[in-house]
Amino acid sequence: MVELNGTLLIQILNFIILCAILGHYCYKPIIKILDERANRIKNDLDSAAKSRDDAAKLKESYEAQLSEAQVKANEIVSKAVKEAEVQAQAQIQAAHEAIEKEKEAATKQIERERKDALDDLKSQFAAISCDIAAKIISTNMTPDINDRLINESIAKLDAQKAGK
Amino acid sequence: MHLHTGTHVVSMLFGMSVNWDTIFTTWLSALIVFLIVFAATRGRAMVPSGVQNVVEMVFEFLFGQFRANVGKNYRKVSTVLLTLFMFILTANQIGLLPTEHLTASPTNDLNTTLGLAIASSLLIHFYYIKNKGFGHWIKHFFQPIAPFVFLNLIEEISKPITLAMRLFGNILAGEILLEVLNNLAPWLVPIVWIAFSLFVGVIQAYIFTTLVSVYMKESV
Repeated sequence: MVELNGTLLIQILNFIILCAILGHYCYKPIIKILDERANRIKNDLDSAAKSRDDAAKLKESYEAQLSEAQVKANEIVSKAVKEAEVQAQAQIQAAHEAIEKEKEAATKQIERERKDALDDLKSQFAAISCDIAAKIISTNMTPDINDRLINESIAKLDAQKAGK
Repeated sequence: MHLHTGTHVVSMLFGMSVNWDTIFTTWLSALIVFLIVFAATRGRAMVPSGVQNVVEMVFEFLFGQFRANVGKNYRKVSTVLLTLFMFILTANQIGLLPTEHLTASPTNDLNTTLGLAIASSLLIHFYYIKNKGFGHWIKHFFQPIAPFVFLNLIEEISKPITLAMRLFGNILAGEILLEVLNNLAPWLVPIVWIAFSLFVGVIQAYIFTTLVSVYMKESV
């Protein structure tokens, strides 16, 4: 059952020949494809890592741009608000001035009308007074005397007005 | 009961007796290994499938083991180690085929296992001389001090013998027991033992290859 013979030598040769055949025809292509795959996976991983880094940098740049744009937008908005406030203030000021002018013009007109009315009243008052006086004293007065009396009365009234 | 397992068809060749049944099953195993591995190389797809996938999976597992045992230069000896594993694995399983004693495992013959072990040993020393030089090779027998040469020589001789005996004993015992069980209880029991023998065949191929890869560490 256990006997060493010429089979031993043949088996040694068999094994070495099998190693040579398999090594040349079979293992080389398999090892080549395994190495190619390993290299490809390594390259893919490297490339993926590079892409991730690039994406991170791009994201950082976009975020910086976005924040810059936000600052600019805020500046534009605040500038617009300020301009609007200044404009509104100017418009309010102009309106106030216009109102003041209107008010002044109205006051002047009232004053002028009041003066006219007063002058008119004075004339009528003097005329009426003269008529009354004439009737009372029943004296014939010439128109010159009448005018003189009227003017004197008016002058008195003006003097009284100036005196008060 | 006469056991067929362990008996051989012997005839003379160049004045030496040769176990032709062992030689025949060795060639058959070698052919099967060649066909399987050759088939795996035909596709060369970047995304493997079928036999290419299986063979690449086995190779990648073995390369991992070789890298751990031999070191980063394991590629220098991977041809020998891969062939050892593939051949022993196939040879161990061939004896389990139900072929009425036509296909006994070639590894149930001490000539085969010792032949593999001696060839491995010769290759270990060949790679040692190739990679480190003849001077270093001579010197390593006298490490750590000169008197250790005797122990080192005994170790170098015992390595192939233990490798051969372990594989031979396991496979022959498994096949003898399979034949005995087949005679004693032909139903179901042998099937269980065949399943276990399949496992033993894989383990023994792995052990033989791993031990040779450990021995190869000094050679690269």
